[in-house]
Amino acid sequence: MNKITIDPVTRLEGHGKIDIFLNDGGEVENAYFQVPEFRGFERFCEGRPAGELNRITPRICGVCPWAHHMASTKCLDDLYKVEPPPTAKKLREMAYSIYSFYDKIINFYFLAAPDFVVGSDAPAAERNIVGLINRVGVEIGKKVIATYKDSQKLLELLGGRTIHPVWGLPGGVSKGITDEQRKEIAEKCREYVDFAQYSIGIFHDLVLAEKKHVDVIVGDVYNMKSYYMGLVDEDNKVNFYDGHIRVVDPDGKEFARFHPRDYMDHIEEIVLPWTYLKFPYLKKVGWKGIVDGKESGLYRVAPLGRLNASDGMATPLAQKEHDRMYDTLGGKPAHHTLAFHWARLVELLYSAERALELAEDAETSGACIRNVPENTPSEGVGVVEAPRGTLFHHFWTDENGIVRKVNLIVATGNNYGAMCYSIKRAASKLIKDGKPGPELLNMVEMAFRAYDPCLACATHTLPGHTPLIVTIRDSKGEALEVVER
Amino acid sequence: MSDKQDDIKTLIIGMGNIIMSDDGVGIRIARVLSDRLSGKQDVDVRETPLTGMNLVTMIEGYETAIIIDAIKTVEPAPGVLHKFDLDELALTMHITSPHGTNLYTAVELGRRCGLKMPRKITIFGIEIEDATVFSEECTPVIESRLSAIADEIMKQL
Repeated sequence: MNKITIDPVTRLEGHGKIDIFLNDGGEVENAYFQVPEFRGFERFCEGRPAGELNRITPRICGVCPWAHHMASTKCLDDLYKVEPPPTAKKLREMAYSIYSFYDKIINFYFLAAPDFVVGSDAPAAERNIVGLINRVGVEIGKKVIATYKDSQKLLELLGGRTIHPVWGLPGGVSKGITDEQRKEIAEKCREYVDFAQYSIGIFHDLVLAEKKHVDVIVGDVYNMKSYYMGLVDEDNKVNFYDGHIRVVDPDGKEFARFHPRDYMDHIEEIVLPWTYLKFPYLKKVGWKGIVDGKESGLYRVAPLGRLNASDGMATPLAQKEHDRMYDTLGGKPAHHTLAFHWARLVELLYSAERALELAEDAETSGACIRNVPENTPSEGVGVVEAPRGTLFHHFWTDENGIVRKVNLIVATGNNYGAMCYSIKRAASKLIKDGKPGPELLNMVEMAFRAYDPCLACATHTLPGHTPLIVTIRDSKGEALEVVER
Repeated sequence: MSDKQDDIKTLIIGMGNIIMSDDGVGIRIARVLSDRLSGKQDVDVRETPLTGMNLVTMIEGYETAIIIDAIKTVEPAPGVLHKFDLDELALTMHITSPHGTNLYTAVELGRRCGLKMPRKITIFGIEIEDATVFSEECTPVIESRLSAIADEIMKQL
């Protein structure tokens, strides 16, 4: 059997490795996206006061710290059975919307746009934001940096820190804002709405206006018919902070709608021998392997998953872009994996609009920011929509609030089966006769980059890159060709 | 962010994840250095888990930036200190960093967009043993070397 390996071997912290196995005819037989092992998180948490967990879990991941902070904080609400006052809820959702906005800027300008605008066939060294500004102009870079810095400052103002917030408490938050601060935040959020529209304009002008890009997005290489999951409000509109979890089937029909506390009735996980990350799947459909279709329990989360699982967006401009996207893609649900990038931009606009709505609401700067918990803790569940998908935190404690057990289903984990499927599908379409085409590395990488996977517990690297090595082996295991960058 | 005072010329950054055993060695060393440099008015010491744009906004406005991080090379010898200039990482200018961009590209972006980037950026990489176990402690071999590594870096400041 032939084997192709894409292995970012020298990343310091957790890395994924892709093995593509060919049959004797040189066609793709299997693809494995392996994720490294991290050990001891549960034991690390056991015996600690539960109140510490919303400051510990953000350190699992430097990319999604606010998502973990918010999921853990909501989990603490549920653990102590305390309802935060309206001001606290609005503050939390406003901060979380700003964080979502900030995260999506990075994804679009640093990861997605260069692939399209600079081109998937461009040298890797040019396919980055510097390559982007070389093509489009330095003003884009200046706008990105200015907006990035502004949103960092707002997050620090609200959460105490930009990256590892020290803010949420069971029943509320530790610090509110003044009317003046709220108005300043609203002013910034108006700029964010403009910036989101500007970003969508770039996507339309530089990506969607090019037929070759649209052909790739709607083509057969990046397609998967799956179930979709996301948090929705009472009107089934996308909500990042709160609501019920809705699942639709590959035809777009509602399959389930449940309270986050009941997630274990709907989601199961399976362990496969070749990777350390578990595969979640829909319990009522069952595990059928890494396959697509209505009979497969694989589901997708994150931007496209959320939009597919909803009846639309709760803000007007985002709803308009949502409609435009589905009109172009041929209706809802859209199964085009690269449409994750477009859906992420719809959400960028939603994040800005929602943050603005909350910043314009006088109750967000109210005085009552916490209800002090009075109940004895035992078990709690907290769920938010992380940028990379539905994030579940589940804590069990003794009567003194000391942690006995922790279960997390992280956002990327939900998409793990789908990512493996997407990699295999892309590889199958691109590798013929055992020979990877010149764009193989990037085209396969694009399949999982659309999901913006988050595999590690730390996100810094030295030397700061993720090398890819493709090794093509013959049926005896001998390397025939190594492609490296 | 870059809300620094004008008279502070040098920024020392400890990078890493403080709950992932040796992954946090950069932060542990930065804390030692912070104590040792507490009387010096022209040096800031900070911590971060993130590279890319986050680092660029941190180092903006300083004349010199020193970044201390964990590293694992092909022939690991835990506790060994490596030293790089940013330019030595030029070949890593790929968009393969999973959630943004690498430091070299981010600094290049900053410069192109008019940010005042440090004249000199030095990176110290400390060879580690294990960064896969959740722990607030480094592995014993790294724990035992923390003070000596801080000494070595102090000599090279």
